Amino acid sequence: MIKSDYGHLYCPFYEQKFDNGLKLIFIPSKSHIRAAGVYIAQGGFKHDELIDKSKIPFGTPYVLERVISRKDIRERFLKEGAILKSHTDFSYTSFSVFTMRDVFEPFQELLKLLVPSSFDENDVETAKKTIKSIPETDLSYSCRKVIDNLYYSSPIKYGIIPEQSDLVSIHYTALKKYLQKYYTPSKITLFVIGDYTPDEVLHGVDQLRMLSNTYPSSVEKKYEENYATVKESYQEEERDLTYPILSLGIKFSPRKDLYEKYGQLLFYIYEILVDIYFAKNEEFLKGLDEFSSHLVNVEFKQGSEDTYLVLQFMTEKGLALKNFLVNYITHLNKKISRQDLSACIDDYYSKSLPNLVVNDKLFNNFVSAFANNLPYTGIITQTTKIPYKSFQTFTTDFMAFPRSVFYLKKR
Amino acid sequence: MAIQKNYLYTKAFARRYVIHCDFLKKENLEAYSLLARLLTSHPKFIKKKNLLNLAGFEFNFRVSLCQTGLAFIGEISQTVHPALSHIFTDPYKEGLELFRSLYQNGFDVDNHLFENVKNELIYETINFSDYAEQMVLASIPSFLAIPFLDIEKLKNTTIADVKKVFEVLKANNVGDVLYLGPELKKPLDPLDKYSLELPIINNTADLFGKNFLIDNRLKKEAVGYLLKVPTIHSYHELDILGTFIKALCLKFESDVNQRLGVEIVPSWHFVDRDHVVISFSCALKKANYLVEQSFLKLDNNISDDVSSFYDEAMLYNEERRLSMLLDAERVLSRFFVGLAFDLEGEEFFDISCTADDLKDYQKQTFVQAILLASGGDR
Repeated sequence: MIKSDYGHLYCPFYEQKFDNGLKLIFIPSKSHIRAAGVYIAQGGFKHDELIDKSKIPFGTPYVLERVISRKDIRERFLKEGAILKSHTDFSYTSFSVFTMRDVFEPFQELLKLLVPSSFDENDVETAKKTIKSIPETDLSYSCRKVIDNLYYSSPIKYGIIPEQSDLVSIHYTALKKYLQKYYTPSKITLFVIGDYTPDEVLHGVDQLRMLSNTYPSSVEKKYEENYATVKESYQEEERDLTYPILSLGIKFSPRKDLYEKYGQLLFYIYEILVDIYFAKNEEFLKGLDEFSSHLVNVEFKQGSEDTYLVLQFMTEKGLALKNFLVNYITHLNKKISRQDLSACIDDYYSKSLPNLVVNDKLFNNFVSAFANNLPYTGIITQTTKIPYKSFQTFTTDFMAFPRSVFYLKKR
Repeated sequence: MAIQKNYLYTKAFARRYVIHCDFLKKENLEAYSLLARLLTSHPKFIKKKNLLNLAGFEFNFRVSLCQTGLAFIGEISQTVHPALSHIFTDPYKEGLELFRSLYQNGFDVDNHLFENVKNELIYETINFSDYAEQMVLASIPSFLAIPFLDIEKLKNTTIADVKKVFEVLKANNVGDVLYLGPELKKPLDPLDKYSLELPIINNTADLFGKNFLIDNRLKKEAVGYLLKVPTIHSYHELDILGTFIKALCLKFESDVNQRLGVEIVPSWHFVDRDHVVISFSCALKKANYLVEQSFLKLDNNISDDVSSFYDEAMLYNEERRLSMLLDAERVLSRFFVGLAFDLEGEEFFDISCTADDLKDYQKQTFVQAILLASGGDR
């Protein structure tokens, strides 16, 4: 196994690539709890119209995750002393087990679940009943509206979780086809975290019954997004509210364009972007105070080519705040000094270290970083080295990203 | 792992905590809640450095109901990581010094910023708190529940009110200091000022019958059941109680979901050694219906049907056991209960019980009072 060690973080990890495309990451840890998991490089962002001529409705990845980690399965793991967790993001799906015992036994059980024969139509219908629509609050409604106004046709605007109306058309066949296409070694990375040696891990993984690669044909979902503008730049609505909410959405340029220009530096900048521009920027927060406004929610999401940032504010002075925000972002490159960047990086480093010592945080952070094919420890290290000049170049680009504002007013 | 009066040694969750609890009269809840927020978000710089920027360091203040009083709880903590030098070596020296420093320097806001912080708290109270549940819990002297804040009182709270309660807090000498984290080289000595035991806990659950709390501003409703339960003396009995309550909640949820089509969110808190309060929050105009249809009846023993949920409830013990090794908050609340009730036993991290334990427990449990937080007739 190849060892990578960013020494100052005291969190080395080992990597192994197998002939069938499968990857393995092992992170030694002395913690009482051992963890193992499966990262699948495909998430809730809708990519396929058809797989093997079967229609893949929106929400299929999420439903599949819920079917695999359904209640009776989670209880089965608990009986064996392990917690089973799962998560669907726009870019990936993950399953993990946490136990105080040897992790390879529950890990094997987990892998056995990632085949179509591990569930049937009844399991799908039962799991679908547990997927309840999340009650929409004023805040989430306002967020949904601004994302909808940002994008013309990108599937990112639909989110990940299907509505009841979507669930009706999701059946066993769609889940099976989706699983056969994406739950395959070439798209999977295995994670093991615990008090093992690399040899023990390799031996343990060798004993696991592996999945096989399949290559079903598929028809990609086509969409054309206009990244130069937004669908609606300003909209307001009145409702019975306690507090009005103003949501600002920012649509980033396509990922491939940004990656071409910045390379991996892009993802290091993403680590501090919200804090340095907004959440911990003193000038910004002072400006908000002047308008008696508060930042109450931030959503920064990446999926396929799309990246958006939504900032939500509680404010009675919507129009004044809107003007402040526009003016602030337009002059953003003059507001971040070299010292500001350095202070923000120090803060980021200090907040990152705790994520390396508790195994569930370690797993979650490694997995979410893996969506960009980067190790979490590498991201921490490189983020602390962001050059000011490059950061300012990005800031200039950021200032030009198209924006949308949705103001939910008091009736 | 070792439990002593004021500390719990554990390597789980890789953090070191010093917790400073002040026990105060249950008054000015709104001002104390604002004070906790101001000390957390706008503290004056402590010592020469801004501790907020030190790696892996966090501090947080909050207010919890504590029986007939309130607990003002401050937590300072730091990640245990080889790259970090400890902010405090002796929790009772440097740890307490940090608290003293935070209390001496206080918070740093002008009137304008104060109003903003207050609005934030009002916003969160209205939008994110389960107001109905808090109403239920506020009407019983429950233990470690989030206080019910009156929005009108909160709006009228001034910076002077907060400064006044801050002075009361600083002068207070009833409380405790706790340490949670890896074993220390030197055992901790008791403290003079904070050596007082928690002001717990005689039977204060003098509520009986059916009680109504009506507030037409409620967006949700809640039903609370005050249960008389067998007295707990040990961690093992605490686990039996926890598992039994879980089984009861599962039965309740299953009944109301399947039979009545009502969705509920359960939570529970201690009142004293012999009483717990369970709260089920639900949609508007559903609370009364739930009470009428529920298998939980006043002064009756609990229906035997709950036993069919024992196995499922016992399964969650495994989850709780594992989660405690990952999540300090879970350990903290168990630790507080253990201290408050002076629980015996070495089973801090071993949560277990049998179906027979639960059966015996059920026979001695009954509903003493019912509370309804309803939105009225609108």
